[in-house]
Amino acid sequence: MAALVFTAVLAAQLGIPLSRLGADDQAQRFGWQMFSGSRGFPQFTVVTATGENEIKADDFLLRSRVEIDVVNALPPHLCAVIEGAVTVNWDTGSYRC
Amino acid sequence: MLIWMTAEISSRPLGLARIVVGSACVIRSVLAWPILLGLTDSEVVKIPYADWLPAPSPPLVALIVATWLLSAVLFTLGWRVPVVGPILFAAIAATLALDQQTYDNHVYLMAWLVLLLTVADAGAGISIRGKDRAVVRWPVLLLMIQLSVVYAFSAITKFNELFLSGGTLAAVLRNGVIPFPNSLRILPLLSAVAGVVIFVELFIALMIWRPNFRPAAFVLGLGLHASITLLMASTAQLLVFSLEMLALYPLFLHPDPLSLTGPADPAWRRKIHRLDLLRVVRLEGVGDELIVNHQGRTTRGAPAHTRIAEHLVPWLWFAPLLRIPGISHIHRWWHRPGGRRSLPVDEIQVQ
Repeated sequence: MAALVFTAVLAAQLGIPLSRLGADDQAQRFGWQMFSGSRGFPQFTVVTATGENEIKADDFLLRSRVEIDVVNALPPHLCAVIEGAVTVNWDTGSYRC
Repeated sequence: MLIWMTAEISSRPLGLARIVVGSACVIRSVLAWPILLGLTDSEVVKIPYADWLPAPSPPLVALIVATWLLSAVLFTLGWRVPVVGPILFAAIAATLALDQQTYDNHVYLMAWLVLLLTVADAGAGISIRGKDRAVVRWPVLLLMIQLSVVYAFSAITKFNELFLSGGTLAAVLRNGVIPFPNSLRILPLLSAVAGVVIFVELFIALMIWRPNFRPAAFVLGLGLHASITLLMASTAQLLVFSLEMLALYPLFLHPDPLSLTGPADPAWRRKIHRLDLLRVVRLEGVGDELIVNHQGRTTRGAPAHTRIAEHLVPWLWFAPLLRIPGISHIHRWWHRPGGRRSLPVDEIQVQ
């Protein structure tokens, strides 16, 4: 039993961080990737009926951690919390509310 | 091999690791409160791992943090670790599961360490129960492997253009307790520092297992953790990470007892006993000169003093500094025969 637990834990200790290596150019969770690089947050612009407003991503995030995929997470949220938002644009894409 | 893995060993180093990791858990639970409460702000985006997970709310956050804090205190004291450990682990895991933004490497590491310390029966040594009992080696070995895994993967993932160029260090070496001088914020210099950081992490990961290189690994580890804690922002969180890692270092100390010959002075002997939290020092002979027998080697004077200090709490984390050329020369001069410090009375306190 002890040998089984030891082997299982050792496999997890090595296997989890190994599986997180090279998955993306972005830092990965659960991989002991500490200060190993970063991908800057894009500049978001929210288009409303009255014009365009530049948005600081930090204002809508709990913390600016490099592992967070802000491009997928933030645009729907900006549509929900910014009144009259029609489109969210950023450097490489856009999202229609 | 199987006999070696299942052999019983002293629980004192494990108990010490539990106390330090538990203290880090206490500190981090306090830091968790404002962070988790921020998730309940409607302006802040929620990024759950799964839709079925409960949404963060003030009562839920209060429950998680209160459970974390209380169980961390009891864990540190060593009170019913087989019961308290899983509760503490659950509170930390709940924090990590609450939202993708609550992830921190040091919190994830905390979950691992609490789990492994619980499996290792870390309440068996230095606990409020009072009486120690031996523990089995293999879970302790997993804790030691965890240290190497963290340093090794941290180093490996730093082999990228941005880190090696010094760009990452230029960005993160700011807003620390000690301000990083702007005059040193030069990419070629920081690029060299980046190389040193990777070397240090790999050195500790591999060489802490080799007795001959262990003191060097301790010194480099102390330097690494002191510098990241003092020079970078989020000091409290980096302190927690440093405590977690440094807590594991005593597990690597050789378990053989140190047979010690020293002065008959009862006050000195009491002091040694008080600092000997790992219970490895055997005060045997009486003599004017300090003599230590450890692992079949006899050392005298300053080297003997260094060897003892490397097994006493809290000096074990700092004493390997006495082996650094220059410092060791001053140390030997200080303890030279016939010198002011030739008798080791009070020497541990001075260091």
